[in-house]
Amino acid sequence: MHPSPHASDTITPPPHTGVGRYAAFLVAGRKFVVPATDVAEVLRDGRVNKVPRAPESLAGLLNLRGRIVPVIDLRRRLGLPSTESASGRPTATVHLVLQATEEWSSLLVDEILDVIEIDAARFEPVVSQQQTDATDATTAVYASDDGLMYLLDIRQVLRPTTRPRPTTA
Amino acid sequence: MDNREFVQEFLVESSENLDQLDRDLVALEATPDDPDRLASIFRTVHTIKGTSGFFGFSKLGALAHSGEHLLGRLRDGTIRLNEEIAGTLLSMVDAVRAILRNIEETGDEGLSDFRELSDAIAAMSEGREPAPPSGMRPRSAGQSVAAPSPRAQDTPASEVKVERLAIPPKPSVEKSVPPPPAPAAATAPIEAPAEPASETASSVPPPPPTTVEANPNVAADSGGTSAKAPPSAAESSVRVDVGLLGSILDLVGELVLARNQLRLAAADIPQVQDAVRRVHAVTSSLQETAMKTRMQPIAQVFSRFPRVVRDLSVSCGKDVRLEIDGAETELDRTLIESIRDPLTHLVRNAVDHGIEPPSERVKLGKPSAGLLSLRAFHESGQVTVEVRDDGRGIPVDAIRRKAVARGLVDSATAERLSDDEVLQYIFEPGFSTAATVTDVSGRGVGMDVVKTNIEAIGGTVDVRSTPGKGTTIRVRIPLTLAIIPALIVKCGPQRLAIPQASVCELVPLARREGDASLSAAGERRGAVIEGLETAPVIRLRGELLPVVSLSKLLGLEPDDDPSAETLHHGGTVVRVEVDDHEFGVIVDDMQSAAGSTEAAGLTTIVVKPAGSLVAPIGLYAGATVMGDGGVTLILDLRGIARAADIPERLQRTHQADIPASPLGDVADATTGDSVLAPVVVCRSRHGRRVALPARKVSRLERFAEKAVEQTTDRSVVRHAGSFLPLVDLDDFLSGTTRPIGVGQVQAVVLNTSSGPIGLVVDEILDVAMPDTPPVSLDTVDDLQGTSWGARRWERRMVEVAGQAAELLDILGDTSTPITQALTT
Repeated sequence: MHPSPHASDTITPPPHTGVGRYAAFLVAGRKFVVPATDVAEVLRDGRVNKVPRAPESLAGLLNLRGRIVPVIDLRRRLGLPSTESASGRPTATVHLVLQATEEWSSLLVDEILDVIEIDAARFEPVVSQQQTDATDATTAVYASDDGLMYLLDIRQVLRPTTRPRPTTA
Repeated sequence: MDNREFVQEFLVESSENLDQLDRDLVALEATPDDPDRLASIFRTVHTIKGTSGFFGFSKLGALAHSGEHLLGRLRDGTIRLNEEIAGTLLSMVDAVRAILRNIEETGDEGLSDFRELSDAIAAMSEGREPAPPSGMRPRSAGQSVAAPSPRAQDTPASEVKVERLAIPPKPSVEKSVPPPPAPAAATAPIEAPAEPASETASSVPPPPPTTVEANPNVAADSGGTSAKAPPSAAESSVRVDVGLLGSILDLVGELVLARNQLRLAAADIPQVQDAVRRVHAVTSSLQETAMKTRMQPIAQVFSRFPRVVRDLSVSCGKDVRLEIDGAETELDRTLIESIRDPLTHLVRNAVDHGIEPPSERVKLGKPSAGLLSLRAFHESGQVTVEVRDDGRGIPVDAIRRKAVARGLVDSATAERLSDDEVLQYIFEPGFSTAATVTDVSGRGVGMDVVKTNIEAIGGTVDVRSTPGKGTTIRVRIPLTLAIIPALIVKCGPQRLAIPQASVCELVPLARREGDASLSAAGERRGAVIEGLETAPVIRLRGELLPVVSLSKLLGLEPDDDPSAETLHHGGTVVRVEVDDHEFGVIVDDMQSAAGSTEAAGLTTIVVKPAGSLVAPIGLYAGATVMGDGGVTLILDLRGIARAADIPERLQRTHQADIPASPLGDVADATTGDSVLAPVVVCRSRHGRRVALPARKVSRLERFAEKAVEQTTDRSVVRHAGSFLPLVDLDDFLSGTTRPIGVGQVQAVVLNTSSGPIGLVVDEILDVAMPDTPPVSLDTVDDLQGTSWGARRWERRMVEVAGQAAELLDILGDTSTPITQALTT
């Protein structure tokens, strides 16, 4: 019952060699992939319960059959440009539920694309002049025929980087 | 302390050890020179000897001692194991079993003293051939442990069991649920009609060997696995994998959830109400029982400390007396595991750093033996474990210097920090002030780990230390982590759970400020939020309770007009107590509990971790899934208190229930004397009986000597960031100004128009309604020439409980603020 060190503390292993299956999805117009084995399920409509005073990247908590799963607003987490409506509600409504870590998590994404096969050798390191939230969380990039696909480091995404907003006393 | 539980534990443990001994001895016969096995056997017998000595079981001790002696010779290689010796040792094991069984059944060791066996063992230790006593034949390995040879003569208890095997089974429900502490009492009456009572057992002839041979397995296990035999301690308790218990508890948690869902869903279906109620009742009992399976006495941790302390005090050259209290206090097994290391660390610290060497203690006028006290007790749904020593205390100044040296704080700030605040630095990683690093502690690792470990299980560590007097460390841990009753509150769009263990009461708030004045006199109205915007309070039975607006704290409402919000906030104040904080949480409403048999808003929740992303926010203790499937966060009240800057409650010894004035402050400005209003009656240090209007009293408080700060002509205590002037009541009445003197003081804190003032009294006598309306004597007005400046009050007398008292009512229109003279 008490907190155990999460698997998220371990360093993400480099992509496996050989051809692997990856789930591709769209966030703010960009394509990302995660290993297909990390995906637990895809949820089209989940009731997200907000957590007051949470970092803005945490959209809330989701009840997944009795399991409490944090929901990450991936667009905010990666600091990607806003495509949201004026209401301030995230437009992304698809839950990509991941079982990559001991503590499950759900990523709010715009659209699930497909499961694709990528040869690990074709991933290239992300080169960037500037360290950003987005580059921190992407370990590699794959140039596919229809654009770049970034390999998302889930453990890095789940690592709390943004400090919680200060509470007013 | 209840010895019986420990005896019971000893019995269970020994029974397991004896089985192991059987196996080891038999195996040893095959490889007589196996030193490891021999050492293991030796240790086991030694343990039995030691424990029996501890409980005063002399026969058992003597028997184990003789066995140990023989085993010692074997270990030394003085003599070599042969069949005879092995047989004798196995007989000893059987005899030990018999005694244990007797202890379990009757509470004492029984009549048989196994002299023949002891003699035989002694003879073998000396290498002599024992004269085989009648009925005791050395057994060979080939006969295996099934041979019951010595029992026929020596162990009446075993014999009874064997005898019972021959009796046809008779139905008995009671037997299947034996109360372990007193099995003899419980089973005797059941057996009486069919079988001669066990007292007569010794006269029963030895059973025909065939009976035993026919049931070798039963005989081998002296406990007897037969359903007929009264179960031994080992049988009535079962070892269960902790993981299994955990999953049972998880499943029960799911069941509780489903039950709650069912209750919601079935609320409108009258036909299923009975079944729902039954499911509810059964689930509740199941849950309670499941929780109990995980409860264990803290003795499991405490029991190792006598040894730890002994060894430590020897190696540190200290003389330490250990006192243990409350070892029977139960808490969740997983928690017991989690506090084992932190507590050991605290104990080590106390012996190594806290308690001075005997010579130093004598010089200081302390008893040469230091006192280390370990105490565990339940306190409002939590378990408190206290580690207290009367040693040198923690050198606050050294910590202050060290904190500055390590750059944790700048020196100017460090000087302003209170001792308690400075003490917090010992929880910083790598912080140690120990002059010497010893084997035991002082390497600067520890207190931070202690704190981290305790906080990981939702607990707190609190340190108090007085230089020269000692240190007290209080570890507070939740009783259990899994399933708790909670109050579900609503706040804006949010639903939140408050652990019920911390909830004291619910106080309705007046809807609007206007409502309060509109309500008829005497009618009970809601509380009103008063005080500063940054530190709102409500008045509750004459005391001020700091309150926190949850919607504001959680950012659920826009902050643009805070004053309007706090003043016109309807809803409810949930008064909570956690650690040394007592405060109110303002919420909109209680969750309505549809179909619930419990009070509105109260429900049982299954605590789940909210996850690594929510924990750092510091306001939530976890989350739970509600009956409707939504996720509800559980408030961490400590975190709330921290975030809202709730001052720590000062020591309050006088928890007087001051009856609320029906008119409150509304009456104050206008009437004031025509109505009976409750008063606080106290005795001044010079013996005057003085009554103070309860509505003016904000609290009754006792201040420790060190809390009172003296200047040349006055005394103050620092309270919640400001100074509270303390004035002796006699001095106040006579208009003198001087410090109140030293020592602990009892004060009545009054709210006056110019701020609070603490009147120091000798004793609080009563809080009551006067018998008569006050009788006016004269008006004391404008006493010139005193350092108080202008004062004005009416001198009136009231009668309370048949005795007259002077009514001191400081009027609101005092021209010069009373406290101005003190605080400026």
